[in-house]
Amino acid sequence: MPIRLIYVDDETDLLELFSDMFSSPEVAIETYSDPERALEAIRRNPPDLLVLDYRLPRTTGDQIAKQVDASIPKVLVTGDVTVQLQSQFDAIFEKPFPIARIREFIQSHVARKR
Amino acid sequence: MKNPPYPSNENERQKSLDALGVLDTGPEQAFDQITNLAAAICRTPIALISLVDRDRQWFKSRVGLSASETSRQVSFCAHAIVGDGIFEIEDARRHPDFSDNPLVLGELQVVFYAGAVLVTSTGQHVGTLCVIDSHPRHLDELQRKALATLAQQAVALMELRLYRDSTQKVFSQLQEAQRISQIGSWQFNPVTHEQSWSSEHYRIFEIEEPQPQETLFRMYRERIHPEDLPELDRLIRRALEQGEDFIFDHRVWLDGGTRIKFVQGIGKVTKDADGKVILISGTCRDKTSDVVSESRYSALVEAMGEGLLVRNAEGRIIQYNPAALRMLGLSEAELNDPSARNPRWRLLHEDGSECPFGELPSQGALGANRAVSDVTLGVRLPSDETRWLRVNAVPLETPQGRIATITFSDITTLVQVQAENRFILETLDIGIWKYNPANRVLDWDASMYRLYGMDREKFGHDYDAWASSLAPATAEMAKAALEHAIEGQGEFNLTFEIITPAGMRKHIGARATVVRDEQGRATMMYGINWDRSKEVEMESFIQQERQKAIRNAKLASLGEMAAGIAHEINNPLAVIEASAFLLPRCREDEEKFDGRIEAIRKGTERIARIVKGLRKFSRSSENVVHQPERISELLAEALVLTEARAKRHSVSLEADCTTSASIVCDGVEIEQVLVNLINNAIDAVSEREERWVRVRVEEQDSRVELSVTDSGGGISSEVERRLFEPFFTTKPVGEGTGLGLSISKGILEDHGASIALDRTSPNTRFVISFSRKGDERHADSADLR
Repeated sequence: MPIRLIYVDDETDLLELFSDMFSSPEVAIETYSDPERALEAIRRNPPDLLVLDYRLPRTTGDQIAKQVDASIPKVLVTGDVTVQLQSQFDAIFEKPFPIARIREFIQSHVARKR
Repeated sequence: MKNPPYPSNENERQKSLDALGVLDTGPEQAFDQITNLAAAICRTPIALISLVDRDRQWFKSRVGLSASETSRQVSFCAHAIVGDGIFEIEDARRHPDFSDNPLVLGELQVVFYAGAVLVTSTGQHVGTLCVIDSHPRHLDELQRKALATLAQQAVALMELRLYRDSTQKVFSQLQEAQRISQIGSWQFNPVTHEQSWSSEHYRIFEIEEPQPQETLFRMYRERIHPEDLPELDRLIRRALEQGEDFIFDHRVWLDGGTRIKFVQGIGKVTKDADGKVILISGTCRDKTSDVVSESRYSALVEAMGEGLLVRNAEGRIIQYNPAALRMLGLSEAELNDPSARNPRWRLLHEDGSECPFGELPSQGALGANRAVSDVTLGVRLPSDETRWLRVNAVPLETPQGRIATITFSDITTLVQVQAENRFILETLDIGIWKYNPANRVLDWDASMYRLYGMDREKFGHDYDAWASSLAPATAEMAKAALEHAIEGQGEFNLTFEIITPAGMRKHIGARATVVRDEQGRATMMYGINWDRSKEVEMESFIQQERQKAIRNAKLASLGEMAAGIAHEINNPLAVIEASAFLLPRCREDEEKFDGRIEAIRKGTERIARIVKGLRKFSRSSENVVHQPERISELLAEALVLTEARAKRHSVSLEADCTTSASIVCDGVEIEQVLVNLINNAIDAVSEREERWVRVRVEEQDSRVELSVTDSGGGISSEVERRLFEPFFTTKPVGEGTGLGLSISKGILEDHGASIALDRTSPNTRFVISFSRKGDERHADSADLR
């Protein structure tokens, strides 16, 4: 069974590209551009990995992170160079994406899930 | 409306006012000068010298008002005189005591009022010197001081006038008293014993004219009172033997001694070359009526409030009254003492320099044989105290030779007040000038000479002397302003630069009012100058500081934007990167392939647009050349830099710009203003239910109006009042510098544009109004090239 990854970003172009880049038989990706809807989905069915953009409409990635189960591994992605790593995140990746490193990170969680 | 209260000492106050004798007199230039100056200094259209009478206020002088009086009930001055100093109403429309006053509501529109109380030397508040405007405002410290000083000057003038009038009245009375002189004349030849009498002489001695020579002298002797005969014989003998002139006061014995006349005979001896007496001629005068009137005359002199002295040709004091003793602070013995000319008793000119005996008004009157009036003379008493006297002197021919009758009043208090006023004006460093456009004569007071560093003697008293001291940079502007003011094309209110003879540069502030005749021709210009150098320095310092603040705010806003901008660039970069990464995988799927290419193109375009907007911020703000910029383009660039924030806060940002108008400006600065304003609007509504910001550009005649409206419900009046103050912010600490609006306002003012909050809008709406004049001017000069 593939691991479930939820990606939240208001940059809609990136949602599709992210899925295309990192989907595999081992990784199923759901994407959301609306933070409210994303929160609903996470609470209904907690994912194995949560990837959050920092700047979101009316909120930020770390605000969402605080509202979800602390045990879910979280990754922050941002184009904003001033954002510091927050304690509730397992990793932070700056945009444009370091594709190899993200893939590696996802893979490590796939391995852990097994 | 509140009726003006009556001062507790109204009776005495009214008496003092009546005593001044100013009410219902005609206009006088000296008072008009004061009101003109007051209007010029306070920059008001109206200035008045208002005297508060029983049931009216009457204007001794008025600038900008045609009425000569109003009722006391509506008078602002009647309120002012109850207090001390300056009574100021900044906005009468909002003042409970005045809001429904007919002067406020009527045509006159007394909205702003400031009156300095006119206080007489006896401490009575008789009226005010007041300035009036139809707009709310207030006086600055300098204007308050000047108004108070001018008020003192006005009272001093009234009192001086009073003194002058009263001394002149006494003087003409004296002249009248002394004109009674019916004089007979006679001649006696000691060689031939021949004598002749004039008709008047016969009449005085009541002898029928004519009489033969033989009987004439006998009849004369018979008429002399027996007791006076020995003196007559003695005087005649001395005249004949020693050639001495004589005065013979004697009684004429009539009707066997039952009737007596008082007669004065005067004899003058003429000698030949050997000293031998060849002729005695003389006059005789019936003094009987004098003796009677003399007792009245001396009563008058004794009772006079003015001092009276009579000096003979040698300068000896031969008559005086008690008032003179009192004013001079001398005892009778001291005054009688010939040492009155001694150095213990120094006399001073008005300017404080020593007045030699020969320059005394009395000596002037004696020398030139004409009246000298209104001379100010100081007397330094042995006690070292100086008394100031206003002196009149009139020469009078008498048998004893020419004498001078001198009357004087003590104006020490007035002189002191005037000196104080001068001192205040001097310390205020306000120079006062008067210019007559007809003959181009320019009059300066002492402060003007000091201001321009010029010698009174070397100054030519004309326009050219002034013009020559102007620094080249502002000379033409200052001269043109003067001409324009004279021609009625503008007010004279400017700052120009001068170079003093010593080579010092000064910035001179200047204001003036022009007095015109009925045809509207300028007859006189009254004005002031003051040194603004420090102020100008301060202004340029503030300007520099403001430039610095703008630069810093620019950097701060840039820093704040940097994060957002990085985000804005990194997002499309991520799209480009991911698309490029995925491109090889979809070589087979043409639609997807084209989609990726399109995503890359769009991302690149987005980044290019942002970078272009940023490039402008990087250049220096020094020596920026203003050039025409399309307002639509400035707005588009401002929107690029603010869209991200709007999106982040889910604020809908709409812009509507249909005009293609250009404005001549520094594009970066205007763009910064727009970014600032839009960002503020976004922040203001970010927490609200309804979130939108609309920018609209419209052309209005010669102006272009740009409005930024947000969904907020307006701004409280407290915030509105402080809106454009530097460092004022409603944002939490650390989130706003509070410089935004104040700097925006400064930038816009530099561009001849304005920014204001639209109070009529139900939402928060700022309106920027640009003038297009600069645009046209630029277009013209572009055509010439």
